Amino acid sequence: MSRMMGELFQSSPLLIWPVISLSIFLLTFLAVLVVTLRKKPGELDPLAALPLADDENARQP
Amino acid sequence: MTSAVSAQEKPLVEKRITYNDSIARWFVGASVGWSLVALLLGVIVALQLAFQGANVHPMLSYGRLRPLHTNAAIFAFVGNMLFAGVYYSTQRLVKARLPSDTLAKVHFWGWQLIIVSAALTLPLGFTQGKEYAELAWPIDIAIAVVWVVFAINFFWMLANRAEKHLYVAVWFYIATIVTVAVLHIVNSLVIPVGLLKSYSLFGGAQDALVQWWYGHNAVAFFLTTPILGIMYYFVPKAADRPVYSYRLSIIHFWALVFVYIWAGPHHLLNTALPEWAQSLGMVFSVMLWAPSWGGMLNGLFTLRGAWDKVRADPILKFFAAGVTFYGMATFEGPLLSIRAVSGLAHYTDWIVGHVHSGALGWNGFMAAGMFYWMVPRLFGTKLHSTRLAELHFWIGTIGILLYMVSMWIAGVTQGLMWRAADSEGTLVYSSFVETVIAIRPMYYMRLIGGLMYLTGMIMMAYNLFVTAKSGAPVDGEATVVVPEAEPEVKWSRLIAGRPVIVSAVVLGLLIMFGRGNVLTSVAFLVLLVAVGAGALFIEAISKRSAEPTWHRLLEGRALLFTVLTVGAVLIGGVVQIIPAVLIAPEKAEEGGETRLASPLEIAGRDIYIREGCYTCHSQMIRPFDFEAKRYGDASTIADSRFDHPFQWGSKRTGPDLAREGRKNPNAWHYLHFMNPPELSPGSNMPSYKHFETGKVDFADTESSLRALKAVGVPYSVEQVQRAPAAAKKQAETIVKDLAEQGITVAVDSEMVAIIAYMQSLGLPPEQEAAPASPTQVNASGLR
Repeated sequence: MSRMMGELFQSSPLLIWPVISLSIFLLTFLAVLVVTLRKKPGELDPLAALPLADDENARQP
Repeated sequence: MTSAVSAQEKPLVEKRITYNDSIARWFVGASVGWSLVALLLGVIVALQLAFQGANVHPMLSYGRLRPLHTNAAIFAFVGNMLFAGVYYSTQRLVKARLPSDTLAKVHFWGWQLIIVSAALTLPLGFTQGKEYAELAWPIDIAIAVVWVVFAINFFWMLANRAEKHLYVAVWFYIATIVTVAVLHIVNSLVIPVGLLKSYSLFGGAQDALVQWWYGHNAVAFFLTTPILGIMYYFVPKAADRPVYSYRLSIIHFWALVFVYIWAGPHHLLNTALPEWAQSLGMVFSVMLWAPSWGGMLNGLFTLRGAWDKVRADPILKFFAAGVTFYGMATFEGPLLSIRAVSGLAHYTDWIVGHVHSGALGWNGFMAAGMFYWMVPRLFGTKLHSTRLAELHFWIGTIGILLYMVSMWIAGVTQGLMWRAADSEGTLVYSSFVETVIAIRPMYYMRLIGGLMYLTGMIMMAYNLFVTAKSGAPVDGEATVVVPEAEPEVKWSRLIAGRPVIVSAVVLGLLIMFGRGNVLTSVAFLVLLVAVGAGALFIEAISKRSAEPTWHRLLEGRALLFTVLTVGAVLIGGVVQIIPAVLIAPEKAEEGGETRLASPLEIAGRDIYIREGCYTCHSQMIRPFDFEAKRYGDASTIADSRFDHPFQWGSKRTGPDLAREGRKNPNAWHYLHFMNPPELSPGSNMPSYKHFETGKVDFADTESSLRALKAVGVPYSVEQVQRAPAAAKKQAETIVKDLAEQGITVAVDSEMVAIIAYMQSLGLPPEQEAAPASPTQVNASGLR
């Protein structure tokens, strides 16, 4: 592992940054995925209905 | 839905609010008007590509009108449309009136002024020479100011909101506002040379990376995320049913904002860009497939059970087709980002077809659907003619399909012709113009497709105008229940929330895992899994308590949500761009010496940029055998090191010019600029006769060199001071050479400067761009 990383970083030590950011992306995304998929059915329904709560003048005559 | 959330809370006051819908009406009107201008310009440039004679005036030639067309389509048509959609939907989604009418007016009129400035400066030749970022530096500053005005009004509205929860559409708007600001500022960093002239702070590969980081994300965060927000609001409204899966919309948002920002380098595949940046761009572009299709399916499935309505309702037709085109474009994008496919498709019309399936199909149809839905409601009336809207839909759809199919055929045909070789490896179509003539029928077909689409939009403009005239402006009203103020959750609780701490710990372990040896890496991996599992366990337990979750608290804090979105965007964007930008000059130095352009060549390059030559000619020979045979050795990162801005290009309507220097005599260039089809029968390049009468002020070369020195081009002080004299001396040499061929040109004419530039392209260091060998060019231009 360290040899592989060593070869990668031979080009420049700055390459650690894309690796770190990729890790942050993966972790955050996985966290969002897990949290979202664990929502109970119906829990998000009121939020999904937000655009349908219209103002009173917005309906066509 | 105010009630849904606030029902659980104690209402304090009931408030009646009237939305500011004037601003939505103005932006709709502006968008419809500018859409006709943008599309008419598109038809004109399509005509110019099909018929060379359609370039009737220097100010209206293809190279100057094409940037105007793209800017008008992106910033005038879609820009005004997205502002209309954002203002209309956000006020209703957050149950708050736009806080400042004055800021809204500044936003509207400022944006229109910027568009008018673009319409004046681009045909006059004032350009920065970077695609979709051509506007002169003072206009760039104006864009930044107006964008900030928009942002202030938007976030102020969020702060005043009566609806605690931010609907997913608003998340997309937030991502748009913050990302576009970052992209615009970074890509617009220049050193001004005059009131409307500047040189990019970045050069060569650095500039290419920054430009396509910007260019790709302009597509992502100007043409996609706000329109997705609009989709998540207007499609449920039009179908009268909630979005298919709110859960999917959350995943869609986070995946898209994280992945999109990484994909920029797919515009630079098979170039001199470092391999790792190309691979990164390719991998993330392919990954983009998943969230894009997640969003597309979410939009389409929202219409489930409403397909009978789609048959009768043109609005739903536009939305269904728009979302389908989004699906097609986002299937094609990752496909084109695969390096081997890019090898065939890049620089061809396939890319043009891809862009237009998104612009006409996704942006244009979503705009039409939104306008047909909004305008009757904004004027308290019914749509003037549903049948006309139906006709618009069908004529537009056929127009897009004609456009896309013709560009696919043209792109694949030309791409294959460029690489076709016989059994001995000799190019079958060695003359570039042969490959242009072969696809000309497709250019006619594209023109017909574009005309049909424009006709549909004219119908829409008429239909909406008559609709508006038949009614009177109506502003939406709503009664909102403002809940009793909850004790604010301290920002420190959110920042030091469990998910943040766990992420930091996991990140630390990941770094240790990467840097350790085999034994310690395994230990850290085990620890990593344990921490992850523990975090999930604690999360599951905490779900059972009545306490609001961390993400729920976060959604209630618009400012913090925004900061974290910026973080998400920057992590992928700046972190990717900074190493690449820092490494690029090192790599360029390793690549060998780079020739310094002479003052006259710089003046010639300014003319090249002014005329928009980069819209048709690349300066980047890819590492393919067939490219080397046609154009010369593959370009290196060192070749373009001192090009501010870079000139790698993105489309070859004409041949690559990276090693054009000394291939043809000066007289050939003169005759070619005067009338290209005379030397290359079938060429669609405009005539540049005005180079003969246009003048170069040699004195200006000193300030040009000084500015380039300031951005890192290593001119000596003496070279800068002696620039005017050196330019004149080189011009005299070229004039003398042309005179020997029987051609008389003024020493300070633009023709001499542009020839000097042409003859300098690809020359090795320390080689002066003296006139090429005085090969005789006879009266008909044949050597």
